Amino acid sequence: MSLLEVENLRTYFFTPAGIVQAVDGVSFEVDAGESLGIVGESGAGKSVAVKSIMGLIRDPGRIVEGSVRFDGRELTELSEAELRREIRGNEISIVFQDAMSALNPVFTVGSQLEEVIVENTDRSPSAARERAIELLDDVGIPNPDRRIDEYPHQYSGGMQQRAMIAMALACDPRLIIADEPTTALDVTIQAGILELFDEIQETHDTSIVYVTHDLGVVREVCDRVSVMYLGRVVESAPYEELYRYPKHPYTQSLLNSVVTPDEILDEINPIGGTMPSAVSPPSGCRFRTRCPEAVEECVHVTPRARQVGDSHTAACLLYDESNSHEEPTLREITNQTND
Amino acid sequence: MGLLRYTIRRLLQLIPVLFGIVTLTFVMMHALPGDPVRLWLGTEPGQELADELIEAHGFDRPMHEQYVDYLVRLAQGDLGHSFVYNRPVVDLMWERMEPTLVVMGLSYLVALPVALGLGIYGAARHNRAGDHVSRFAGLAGISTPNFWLALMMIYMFSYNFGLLPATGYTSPFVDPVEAAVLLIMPVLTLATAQTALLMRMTRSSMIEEMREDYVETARAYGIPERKILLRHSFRNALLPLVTIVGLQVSTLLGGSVIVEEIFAIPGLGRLFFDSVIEQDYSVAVGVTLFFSTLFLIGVVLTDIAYAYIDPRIKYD
Repeated sequence: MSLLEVENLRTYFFTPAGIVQAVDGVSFEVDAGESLGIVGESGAGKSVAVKSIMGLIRDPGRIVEGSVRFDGRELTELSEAELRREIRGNEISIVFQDAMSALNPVFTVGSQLEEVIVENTDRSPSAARERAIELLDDVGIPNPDRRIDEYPHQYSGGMQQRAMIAMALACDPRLIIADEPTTALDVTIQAGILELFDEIQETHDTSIVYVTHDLGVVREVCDRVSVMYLGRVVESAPYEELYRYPKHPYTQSLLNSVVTPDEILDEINPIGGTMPSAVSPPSGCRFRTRCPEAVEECVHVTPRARQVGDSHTAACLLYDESNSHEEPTLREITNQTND
Repeated sequence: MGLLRYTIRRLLQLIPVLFGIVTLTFVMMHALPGDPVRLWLGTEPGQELADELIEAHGFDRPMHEQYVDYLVRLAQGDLGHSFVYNRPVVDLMWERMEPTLVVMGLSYLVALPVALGLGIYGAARHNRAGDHVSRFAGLAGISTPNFWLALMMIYMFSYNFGLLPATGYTSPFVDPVEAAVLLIMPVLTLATAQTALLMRMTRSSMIEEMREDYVETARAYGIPERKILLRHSFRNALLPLVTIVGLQVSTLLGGSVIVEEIFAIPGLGRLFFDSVIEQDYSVAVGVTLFFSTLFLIGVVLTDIAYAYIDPRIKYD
């Protein structure tokens, strides 16, 4: 049994402009000690999917279907009070994208850490303070016994994110959700944060769900990757497998559009078009409007996740029958036609 | 320490502002048409008596001389002499100060907790029935002129039901019970608009803060909703509220003139009103100066409060 099993999760937002099908039938699993990357463009529903796990979706959003099992326990059936007392902070914690605004500007970093510790454990306030200093030290903040009494704005961007990670670690959770934690940081600082996540996973044996739009980041921290497009998971595979043998046309396009330093701009192949609105997504396969491989059938048939390799699934009609690595991958084919 | 130096600097900056206010009030009072001495004496007494008074108060001298004279005495803490009451203005104001400060202070004491409580309640029940009711009450409170409210209260509680005395003042330090009965209507009149405005500000400020990312963080870390509302959001929502509370000093001062006049409270507001009508120059300028100082101190206190509430604000 996996630590976290998300099955057929649907989270919709009921807005005056229509129903936003932000997450529409998403499934993924995370084993204990494993790290899963959730990759996709902005608006793919990555954040909504992971926030749904913790029950953090607020009005007008709602989980309309599906199940989230954590250690065998169905989280979607828990009350707000149960989630608060038993899950949030102590079993599952989350690191947000923008630490500056995720931390309360009018309280010291220490008091915010202490509050989380006191709220979720039976530590006394003074023990909580000791623990907070220890945590800041663990995440690599220099002079933690002094900096604990500083306010978030006195920290640099990278340090704010480290403080946020300290909060995530505060009550030894079994799962940490990292929601684009390095997107707002520059590359050198990003590297430090990614290392920190690696270290956490090794020393604490924590599972991590890492949400990002950056495939390079995924390589650093993730064992497995799920690729999301417009509210659905289109492909799932161990990182190496996905990188070498991408099956879904979207994953292939995504890998093609990654900028590497030795490429010149002309050689990058951005994905044509823009992602359609989640209010009225395309019928059948949602990627078909931008897919180079789309055929008539894609309009009518919603592709389901199929086994295409060892623990490798893709949701595309191309693979409804075959599941072999022997055939040339679509990426190779598209590369040939480009030459 | 930066804050102390900042405070001193801000207080020193008040001096030119107050100087401007004194000058303006002085000029405007003296520019009023009519003869204050005749106004006060009536038409009966002879010209001799009038001349004597005019000379005694220096009204016969050129205005700039009177002005310089006034400033010199002001610098020595002398606000001049009221010719209507034939007493030093300082003594007169000192006597009248208590009722005004009591009414104003009490109306703040009523307005602040009620406004903050209702505002936070409205934010917590955002867009539900309780919120709509408190919002409507707030709008009604803001829209009601205080003189109308005062008259309606007198009509209802004094005239119709005979529950409360319509006018008068007793010091709460002398007879608290009688004072309480007399103060209910004036205090409520002054507090209503304050409460309503502050309540709506609290509500919108809190609603804004509850949408901030740090609220989601607090929720994600199992902090109870009540604590998020009262600790996390409220501390952040306080900043714009402090500004309003500081600026409302001026509304209260303006309101006190009306309320004291209607409820016959012998306070500074009424003294000011009468002094303008009777062209009692020194009194009018003196009360204006005092009111301005109160307001300006309110503004400075607001700025200082910022530093305590928001650690991001630095003074140097």
